[in-house]
Amino acid sequence: MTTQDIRRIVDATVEPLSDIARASTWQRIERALAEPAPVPRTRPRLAGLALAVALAAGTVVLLLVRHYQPPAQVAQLDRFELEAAKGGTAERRSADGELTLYGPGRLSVERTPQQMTIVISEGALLLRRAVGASPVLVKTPSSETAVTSPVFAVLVLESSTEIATSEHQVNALIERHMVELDAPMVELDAPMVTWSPAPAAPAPLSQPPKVPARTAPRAESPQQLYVHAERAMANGDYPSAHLLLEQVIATEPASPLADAASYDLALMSFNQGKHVDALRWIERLLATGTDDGLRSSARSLRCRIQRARGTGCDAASCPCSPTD
Amino acid sequence: MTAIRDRSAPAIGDHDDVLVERAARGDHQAFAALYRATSGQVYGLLTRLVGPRAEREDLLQDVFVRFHRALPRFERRSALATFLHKITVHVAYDFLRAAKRRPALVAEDTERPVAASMSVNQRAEVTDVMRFLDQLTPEQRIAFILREVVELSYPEIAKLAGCFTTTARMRVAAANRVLARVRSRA
Repeated sequence: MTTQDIRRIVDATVEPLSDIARASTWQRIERALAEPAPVPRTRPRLAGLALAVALAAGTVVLLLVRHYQPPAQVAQLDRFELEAAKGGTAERRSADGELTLYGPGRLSVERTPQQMTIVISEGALLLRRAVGASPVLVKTPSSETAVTSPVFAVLVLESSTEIATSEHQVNALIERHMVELDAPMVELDAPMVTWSPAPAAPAPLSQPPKVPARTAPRAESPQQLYVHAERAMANGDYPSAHLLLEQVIATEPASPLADAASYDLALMSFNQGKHVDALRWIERLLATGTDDGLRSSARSLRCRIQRARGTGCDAASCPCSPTD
Repeated sequence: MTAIRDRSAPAIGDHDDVLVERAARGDHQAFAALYRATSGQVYGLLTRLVGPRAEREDLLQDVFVRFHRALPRFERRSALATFLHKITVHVAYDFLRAAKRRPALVAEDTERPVAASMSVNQRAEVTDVMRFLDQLTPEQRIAFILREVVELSYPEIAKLAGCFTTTARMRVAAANRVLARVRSRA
């Protein structure tokens, strides 16, 4: 099965939307639009919220009274381990939810009636559970945290742990783990950039002992910077995303990652109405970029900017697309 | 952006700017006209992203309800098609994520015939392809389909999926690794 086969087969499944289906769907759309828009779940009415809290508290008290067992009688109901190789995943589905381990990594899970405990020494985990499930205790080499969010991800780093508890942050954290695993693939496309430090001059014998300099923080790789930039963009922090993308370009100016960052900066600038900045990033990409796809997209974006500025575009040299 | 290939519906043109303006101001007839002009293309994209499932019409409804609610925020910095396709991708993504949590539902859908006119071999091919696509994460699947089937560029994929271009590349590369494993086992 090649990608050409997949394209052919997927295209073959596309049937035209029949008039009947179009009309019946339109009727449902009209009914849905006639209803008021759903109230965001984050802003429940105050009285309803108070009642819900009171009911929940009462239920918890009732359950505690009925199900209390002396510690000696608590039984370990379930224990399992997961292990995943580099680039692989291991999954476990149960009544507690869906647990995915992104390798390389290993974790163990202990479940008692009172609590679920996950011990993870390496890798990234993603757990999706029902809303309202009891907290999960997550233990890593550097931390121990009780997590209450129904969906969360944990990334175990060399000397720290990162935990994400919103859908956006979870996706960004897992992507970051995968990007770092895949980093060599990007580097293979980039020309080798070598840096040779200048030879240190011999210290004069009469110099007094030097005070040890404070060690500079470890520099992040361009790939890590790019992932941070994407996370900032996902959180709506465009100034930080902008700075991080510029750092990517400054760190490895002659790389496919820098080309991608140039295009992203051009698009961000255009969306913010900064046409001059956008054109500057486009010209940089067209002057130094090697990716034909990115260069083509950059030319299309330049055309859109020129139309927006009223300067028009040369149809012969500018692939103006109304859908770009 | 490359117009998404769909022979079942014409491409969206400039005259729709007027319709969009009127629909954003609450003109129901204008919104109905936009729906008639674009629903075929959206349906085709949904079919490519989620497969020939029975829920496509529900998803089509979801797309246009979200589109209607988002219209007042549409600032026309991108083309209407891009705006609508972005909503379509997000609806597909939400559906695929929910489907991942219900594996039994996925299995039922892969056994359902696409069309009575399809031969046994064609249905077997569709089943094989859907089985492969169901092994991918929703992010990988969408990126793979947009790249290998719809033939968009990585920046275009990134724009629709709300990620960076390199992330789009990574997702397609990961999907191709899964495809390589499937091929090696066959």
